[in-house]
Amino acid sequence: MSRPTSSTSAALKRGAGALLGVLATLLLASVVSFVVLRAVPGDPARLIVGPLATPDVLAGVRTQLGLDDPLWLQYLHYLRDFATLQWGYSYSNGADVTAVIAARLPATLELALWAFLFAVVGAVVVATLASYRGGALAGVAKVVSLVGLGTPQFWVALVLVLVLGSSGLGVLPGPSGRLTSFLEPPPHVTGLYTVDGLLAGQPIVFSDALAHLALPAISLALIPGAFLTRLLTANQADVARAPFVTVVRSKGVSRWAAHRRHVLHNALLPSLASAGLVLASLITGSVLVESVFNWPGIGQVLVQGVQRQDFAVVQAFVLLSAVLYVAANTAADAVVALVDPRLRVSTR
Amino acid sequence: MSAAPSPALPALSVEGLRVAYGDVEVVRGVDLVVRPGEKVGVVGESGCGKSTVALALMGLLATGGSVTGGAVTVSGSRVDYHDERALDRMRGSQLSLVFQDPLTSLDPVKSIGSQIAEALRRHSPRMSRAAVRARCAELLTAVGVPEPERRLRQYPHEFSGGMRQRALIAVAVANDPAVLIADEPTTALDVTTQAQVVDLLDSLVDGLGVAVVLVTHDIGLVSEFCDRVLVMYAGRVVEEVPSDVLFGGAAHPYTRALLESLPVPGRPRGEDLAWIPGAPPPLSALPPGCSFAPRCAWAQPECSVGTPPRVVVSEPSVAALGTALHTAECRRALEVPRG
Repeated sequence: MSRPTSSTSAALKRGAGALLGVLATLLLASVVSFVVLRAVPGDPARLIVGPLATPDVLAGVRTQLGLDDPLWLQYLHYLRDFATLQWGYSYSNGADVTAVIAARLPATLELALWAFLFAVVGAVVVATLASYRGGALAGVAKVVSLVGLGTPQFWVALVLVLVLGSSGLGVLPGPSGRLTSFLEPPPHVTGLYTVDGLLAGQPIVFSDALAHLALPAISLALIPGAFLTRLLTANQADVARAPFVTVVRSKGVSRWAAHRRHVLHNALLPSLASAGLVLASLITGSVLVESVFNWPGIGQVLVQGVQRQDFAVVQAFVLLSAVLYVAANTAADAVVALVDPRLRVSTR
Repeated sequence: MSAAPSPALPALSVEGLRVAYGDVEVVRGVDLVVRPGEKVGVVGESGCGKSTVALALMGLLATGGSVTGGAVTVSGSRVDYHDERALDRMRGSQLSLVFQDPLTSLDPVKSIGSQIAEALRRHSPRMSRAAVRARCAELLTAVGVPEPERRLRQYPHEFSGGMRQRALIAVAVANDPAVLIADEPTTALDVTTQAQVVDLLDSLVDGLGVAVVLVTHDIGLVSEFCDRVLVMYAGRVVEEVPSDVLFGGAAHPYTRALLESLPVPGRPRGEDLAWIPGAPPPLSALPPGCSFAPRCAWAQPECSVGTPPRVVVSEPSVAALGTALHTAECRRALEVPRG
């Protein structure tokens, strides 16, 4: 409107409020992860030194790990170390947690991003066709998405490997990592092999990486894809009943054009926030699929970390997940605020 | 008013229109002729089928509804309600609609400008961007929205109810249609805004020569705005009457009862309003004979037998030649005291 100063300050106020909310959420998550891990029975120092070590050695390691400090001090150290990327030493991997995660995060990210792409594109296509055509197609889409919601990921992963993988039809590679063994990974730019392959002008690397990604990404995409399909179908059904759709038709716009331009557009906006959460859950929730496909991501490190009570790894992962969730949520809210005129702070 | 010297080709002609939702017939043979520049009102209680007539004429009945009979002609050409492509070409260019509730009639996430432009582009795809923008601004000015350039970039939530209805009227007249169907265009607005919107419609009709079908439950509004009034009851037109003789000259007992139930300013406080006993019959189980007979003060035993005849109450006077015939679908139309 005509008062730029007040609308700018309103935007600032809203931004500051969002930031405070983010900080509060992260702090709460850090407390939970800190407390839960220390409430678990078992002594990490004992696990490191082994059952035969003398009490002196045990005490030395405890001091070295800071386990003798009061809890509040341990918590403050934990916060400081997380913020400065000093995520500690993972004795089960024999390396710094930061290095372990940095080495494995790109594989998980690439898998999650492709799964997200499959889920979103699949959901938009299926939901739009189902709500536009209705009838039997809508019924089939509903049943399939309900089944999809209730099917365990690892089971789907196993079936896909057995049917399409090397032991079945052989259409796609089975659980054999990110690339065929004779191919060199592309030069590191983003760490995502499909992207780096394209950037380096290596179409063979790109297609091979994509072929390796296909089955795990589909297994991972199934549940969120089914969820988004249900959400989008319901939203489109609601919007299609709105009077403005009749008004659009009364201008002479065909039913399909009205559906695409107006019904789909209005139905997508409230789904954006959910899509952000879906992306975060894909990044942090790929543990089972990663182990079926032998995928060198962070999921496997996490499983090991839990089994061996490797505090440093688990803490870093839990807090990293919280950061991811909050970041995805905030980003989704920001996108919604940008594209929905009703939420946009007017700058005119 | 029709200035044509000879009875011109009607802008809209409807003969024996029937509409059914499933097995239930909700519009049971409606006839309607509107000449260019003429304003015809369709009134009745909720559920009498008047909004269904509006949607059926546009070919935009809700799922389950279908036109089961009758012939509709717009500017001389017959409308085929099975040809969706032809209907799309007709909608917005020859026949357009102003809808009940301006608050829900605009897409909340598209700018006002793009929603007006959509109507223009659909029927003139070769129009340049600049021409479309100029025409949109012109249309907004024509419907009385100030600062059109700025308003075009705004979104529906930045418009008041009255302004939204103006924008919707701009959409409806964007392609100079032959007929404008207005379905309760003022019902959702407050009283002062109602008057402004009616004045706007009135001036547009006179300026563009567009024929208007005004569908409303507001009998006061039609008598002011329209040349002719069709009164609907249970899916049929029970009386067709020139609006200047509506008050004081209505012949059908139902129309008279409707008029008597209007509140009159200045009537002593505490005095009960007249009302019509009973409720309209369910369309799935209509009484035999005249559908109004069970509620009618003038009903006789024979009213419940056979379809009531259409009685000519008065021939049009010479001055109003070609516009107004007063008929009522009631066997006692000439006996009921008028006035």
